[in-house]
Amino acid sequence: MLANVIRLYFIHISAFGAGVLSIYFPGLDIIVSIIYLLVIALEAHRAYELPLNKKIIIVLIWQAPAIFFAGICISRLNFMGLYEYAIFMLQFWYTPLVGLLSLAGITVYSDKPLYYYLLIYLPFISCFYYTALASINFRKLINCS
Amino acid sequence: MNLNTWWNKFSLLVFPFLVLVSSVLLVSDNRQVFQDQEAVMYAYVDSAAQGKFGYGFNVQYYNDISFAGLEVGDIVLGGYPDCAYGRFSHVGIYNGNGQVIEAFVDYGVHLRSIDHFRDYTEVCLLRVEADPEVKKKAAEYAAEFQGKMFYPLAFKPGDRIWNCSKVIWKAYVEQGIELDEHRDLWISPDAFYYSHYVSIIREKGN
Repeated sequence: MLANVIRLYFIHISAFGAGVLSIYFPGLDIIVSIIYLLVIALEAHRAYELPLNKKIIIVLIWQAPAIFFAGICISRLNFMGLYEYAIFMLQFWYTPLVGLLSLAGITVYSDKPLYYYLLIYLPFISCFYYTALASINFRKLINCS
Repeated sequence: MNLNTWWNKFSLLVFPFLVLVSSVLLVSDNRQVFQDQEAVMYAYVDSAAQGKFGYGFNVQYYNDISFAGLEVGDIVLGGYPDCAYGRFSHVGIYNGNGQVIEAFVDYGVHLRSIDHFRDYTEVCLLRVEADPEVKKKAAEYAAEFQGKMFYPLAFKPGDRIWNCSKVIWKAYVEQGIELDEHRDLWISPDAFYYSHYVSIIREKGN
């Protein structure tokens, strides 16, 4: 379980670097985002044989910083003066997905763009994405089809 | 090596590889920027060494600068104390009717009342020395990107990801006016202040 968490953090941090640099090459940022989703799916597959509670612990540890800042954004709680910076921190955390998020640059509600709402709910979407993929037996799926 | 082992290694190595390749391409494409000691990235590094990060501290403040006489296409700069990238941390382009086009994290590129620039301890109004029709076109161009994504480290290329300075820089570049004379990787709001294409209408602060 610890190895899964360490791998996820290593992937996430290196994907952050790739995400920032890819902005310089328009189009590459979207490719980086897609690769990131694929790699996380592969990591989820690695956790298939772990019990559900361990999968949930892994994903909660991995997404803990994002859950913390999303909680501040949603609750509007100015914990240690962090409210103003929480959305920035969320955006930095989801830099690996910046290419795909940038496609959500349309104003949808209360003058705020879709990407803003996605950023706030991405910690929960990410938890679901990982846990759901970690619970699917892909070999069985492939054999059935 | 079986397929699982291959995928395990792929997962760990793909992003470091992309970082390496992107870095080499970016540096080779911008050698002059990396040799320029006045480049924004070096200002960031110097500020970080002094414990300054981000756009500074949002203090309760009300400056009494007058916005009278602003023309469409004029540039409005604002700055908080201890900003990591210069005197000014934010910039907008005047769009008439007391409104500016600007970019901020929770609104993306958007139209907003100019009055919020009163919250800054440093504030400056700049006039781009260009034909009023050119300035109007620049403001209209900036307005086209409303709703687009804000990201603080938005590089100059591309039109999906913006920060406050990039919107204004791009709006004027499209009209043939290069406001970033250093031709940096990023544009800081201070770059507009020091541009030879602008004159200072009025300013407040240190």
